[in-house]
Amino acid sequence: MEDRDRVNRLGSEGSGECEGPKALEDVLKRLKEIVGERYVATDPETLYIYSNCMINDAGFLPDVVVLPGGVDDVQAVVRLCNDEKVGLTPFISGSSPDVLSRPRDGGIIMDLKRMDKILEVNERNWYALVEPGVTLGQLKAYLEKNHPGFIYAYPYKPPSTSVMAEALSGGVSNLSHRHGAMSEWINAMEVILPTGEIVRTGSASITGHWLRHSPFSELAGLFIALQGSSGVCTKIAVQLWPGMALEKKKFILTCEFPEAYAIMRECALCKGFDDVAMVSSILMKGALAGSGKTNLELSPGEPAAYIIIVFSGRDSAEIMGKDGVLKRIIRRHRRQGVEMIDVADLRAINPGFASVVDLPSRMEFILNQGRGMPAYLSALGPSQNWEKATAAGMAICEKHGFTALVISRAMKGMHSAALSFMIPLKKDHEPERERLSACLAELTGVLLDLGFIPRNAGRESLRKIIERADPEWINLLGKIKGALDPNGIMSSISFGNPQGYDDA
Amino acid sequence: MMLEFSEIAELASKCALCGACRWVFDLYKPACPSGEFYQFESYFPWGRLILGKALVEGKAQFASESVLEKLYTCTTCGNCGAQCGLSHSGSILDVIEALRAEAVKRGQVFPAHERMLRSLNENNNTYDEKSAARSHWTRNIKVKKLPEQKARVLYFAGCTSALDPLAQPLARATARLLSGIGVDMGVLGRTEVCCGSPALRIGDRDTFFRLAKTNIEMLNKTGVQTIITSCPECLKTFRYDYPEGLKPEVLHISEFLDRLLWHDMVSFTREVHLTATYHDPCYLGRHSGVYEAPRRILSRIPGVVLREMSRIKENAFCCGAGGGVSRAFPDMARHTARERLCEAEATGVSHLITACPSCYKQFAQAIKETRSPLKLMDIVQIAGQAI
Repeated sequence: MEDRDRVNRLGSEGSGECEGPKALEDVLKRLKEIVGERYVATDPETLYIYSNCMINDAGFLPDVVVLPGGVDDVQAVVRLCNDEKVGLTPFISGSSPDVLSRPRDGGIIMDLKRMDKILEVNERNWYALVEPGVTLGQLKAYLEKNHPGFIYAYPYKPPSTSVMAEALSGGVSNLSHRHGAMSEWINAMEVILPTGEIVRTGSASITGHWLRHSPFSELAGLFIALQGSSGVCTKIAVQLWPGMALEKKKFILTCEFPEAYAIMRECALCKGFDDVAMVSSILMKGALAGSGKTNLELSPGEPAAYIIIVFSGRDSAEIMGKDGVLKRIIRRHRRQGVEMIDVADLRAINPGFASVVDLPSRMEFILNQGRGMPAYLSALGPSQNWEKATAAGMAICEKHGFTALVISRAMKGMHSAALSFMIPLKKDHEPERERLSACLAELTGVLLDLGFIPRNAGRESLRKIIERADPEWINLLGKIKGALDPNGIMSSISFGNPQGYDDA
Repeated sequence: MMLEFSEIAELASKCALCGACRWVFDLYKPACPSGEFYQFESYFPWGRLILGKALVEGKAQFASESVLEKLYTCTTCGNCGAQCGLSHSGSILDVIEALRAEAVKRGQVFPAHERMLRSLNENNNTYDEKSAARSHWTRNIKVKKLPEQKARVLYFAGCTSALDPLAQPLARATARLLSGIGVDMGVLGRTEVCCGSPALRIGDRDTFFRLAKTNIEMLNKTGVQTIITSCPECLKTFRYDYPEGLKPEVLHISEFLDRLLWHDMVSFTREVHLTATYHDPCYLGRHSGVYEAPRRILSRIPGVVLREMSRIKENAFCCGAGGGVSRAFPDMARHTARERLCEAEATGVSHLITACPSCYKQFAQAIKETRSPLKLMDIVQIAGQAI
């Protein structure tokens, strides 16, 4: 921990090895030599703008922002940071809504957006090799134009979100019902370690192919879902999926969440559907209500849940077959007394629904409800507690004065259940932020009680998770982190620190 | 109603920082010229909104060249507003203009813009030319001089077409075209004054309102029914930015021609054999909603084959000229024009057509510098050839 304690602001007194204005000047000079003068910014406005991001944590201020142009630049900057014990925060494709770029106060932000090439799309082995700055939207457009037989997935995130960020943070998408979290689709990676070495994972560590298999332990896990970063990923091969000629979306509106989950479980058992998801009606009302509505309420008798079932096929016969299976499920539940409405196309009822239904979306239905990106807690857990976790989570949000928007998804069949709470709020309203902190902490506690583990935890949630975790597991993670990053330059959770953060 | 500085924070707070403003939504190609050039988030629209809020809240100060650079590298193309799906999308440029107005109020102006504003106040044009020079383009052209003579239509050339040697051929082509099709048309000549758009975009609202008042009085006095301009900035300013009181209808030349074609009052009889792509000027397209008129004109000219670029209409990438950028940040303006030129070249056509003297100037320079095989024409030039 001694070394880690020395990592601090550039040029500040008593901050360790990189002390004083002379040191700052020297580091800046070397950064400019590495990436070029025009790609180094120290003006207060740029630093301030980078200190704002979509995630729940804010308030850090870097000393420098650099824009490397390639792997050599990244490696040289990382080595410089390690030599000088300067904190380094990777930043991908603008403001990333996930906690990949966990900010810290001071140090260098390395914005990787200049590295935005799609290096390879391999149709024989179904993968795309991309640089950090490639966005979900960019990959979609590229595949549609050049490889129309293949698709990638879309989470409920803006299309400007980085493919790499979503994969490394274990994003949940419209194909997660079939294929699991997006981190499970990582074939291989190229990573620059905090000490400057370049390593590759998966088959890329042995051969020139970017496949998932590896003869020894799969090391990709060292860099995935770390609630921060343990290296700078410069290339990632993500799995693609064949797109079907025809696709159909069906919507089932039910009055209660338990009824919705029962239907979703049965749909998951059929194995034939591409997506089995549910969004709360409040979220759908948001799609129609327009801007500025932060406290939407359901009228008596309104459905509580919108189930979204997506299925695809090579021809109409396959589509009709799957449609028939779904109709039988609906009939069976109706016979059991469940009140529901099934709709072929919500967009026909109101075009406003398109922003929820058609992915990728600009996310107006969420982003217009508060002021900016809502607070967001996404967790994976056992499906038998889905109903309890949903009800408890909504009750906690309500208790703290928030209306939660709920998104659920059956993951990789029904191997686990995804449950997300989005909480629209006025981010710049201090009392609301305080209420939010209390709400997220309580929400995390209850979710953990029910077996749901948040994957994009904020400060409050992380503390709760670490409190509950097996100490030996935490120790092991701490040792791994210490081995990878002996000088503690990368921003990430500090496993040896009960406060949860390096800089907490 | 123009947005006031104090109202910025409320609007900026609505930004989700999602970055949707940086990309053309369906194509995922760059949307913001300054962001593409500088790459730092502080040069993208969401960064400017955050900066605006910080300026209002006193967390950033106007008296800093780097703050001004962020504010004045925006070309005011409006592509961010077209891509952002949120409730404040229509107000992003209002925020930029309000921030610039506050900067000017505090005496923070770039030297290049200071020269423009001084010229506007001394000469009523942005080119540092005496008023007499404004009629030089009409030499050797027979046109009525308003308001001494009377006509049904006034051709308002605008500063660039009237005074910039690169764009003067467009003013002459427009006048010849209108005369050629028998329009009862006149010009103001040396008495024409700037529409005020450059002052408004840079943030000098006092100068803008002075010019607007002068224009409203003078243009109403001419007694014309219609004002035609070949400059989209003049069009947008007359139509959307002026306070009430301007009596004649204001049309862009492409709208006027399109109307005549619709009513069969004019037809293209000569074949013009070329392949072309059309660049939507930001102030004609996104700002004024005129996308189809120029395309309909091109489609009616025998022999013209139109091949579209990928970013068109509301998604069109800027040429880099707007918002005072070409004067204060010529490197960025040139880079932006070259990027758009590359997109035009990729269509494989022989000609790039536009409908704006500022875009014309930008592309003329870019074509020369890059030795592009593309030939450049304004919509009035090709229409003139076809009649």
